[in-house]
Amino acid sequence: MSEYSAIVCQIHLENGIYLTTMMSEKLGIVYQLQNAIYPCRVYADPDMVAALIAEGCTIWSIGTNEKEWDMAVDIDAHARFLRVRVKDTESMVSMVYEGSFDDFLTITPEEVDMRCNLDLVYGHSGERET
Amino acid sequence: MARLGFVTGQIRLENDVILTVRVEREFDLILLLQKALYHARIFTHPDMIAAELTRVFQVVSIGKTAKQRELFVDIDAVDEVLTISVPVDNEEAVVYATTFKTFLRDRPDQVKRQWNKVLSAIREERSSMKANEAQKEKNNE
Repeated sequence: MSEYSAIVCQIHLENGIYLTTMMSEKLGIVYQLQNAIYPCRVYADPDMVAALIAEGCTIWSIGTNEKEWDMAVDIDAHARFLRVRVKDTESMVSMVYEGSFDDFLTITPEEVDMRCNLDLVYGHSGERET
Repeated sequence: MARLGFVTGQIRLENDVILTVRVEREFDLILLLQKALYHARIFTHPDMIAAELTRVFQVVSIGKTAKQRELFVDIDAVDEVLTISVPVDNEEAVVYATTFKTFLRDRPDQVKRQWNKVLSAIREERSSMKANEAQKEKNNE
């Protein structure tokens, strides 16, 4: 967990762009992400999807390098698919959500948040981030 | 009546991020650029300046590959300098280059005036060069 208990979420697109957002709760991040993903369903260009996410989420940094994160969202704009991973206090990475944009919009932010907290949906990936 | 035209610009940062932005006029680009850099002047990190730009501009795309656009803004966050270039005869010509400090001190109309002055000088130079070349070719014939 990062300093001051803020959740650092990194959104990664297939064009090599990393968007970083920071909020006090994962719930808020998922809520913002759903709002941002909603208009993305009509585009398959990662550059345009990146711009829409930057418009819908409070983005603190935009770069081409991965930084330390508590929550990672891998977005495949072409396939309209996303994956949410979270890191626990021991830096163990768990996949908490994987599905299409459409499916992601049908679940409630609370549900994703609950999966993040349970850390159990898909189990640990077995990778420990150093 | 509302204006239908708009200007598309590309803002390039040293972290390889290219933001494609849409503004109504070139003047608006200067104004919004000043607004974003005013907020971002305390940062010297391109990632953070890129994020600040998205809060101010209507960003249509964020990527790493350059597209052919009407004008270009190169921002060097570490050295705190910026350059504005426009295409002249399919080549990029620098019409404005300064430090963040000077850019923020100047009014947008002053910046635009300077930009226009440099641009007309470049165009004049190019056209006289073309005329000279044409004259040379004529003489050779």
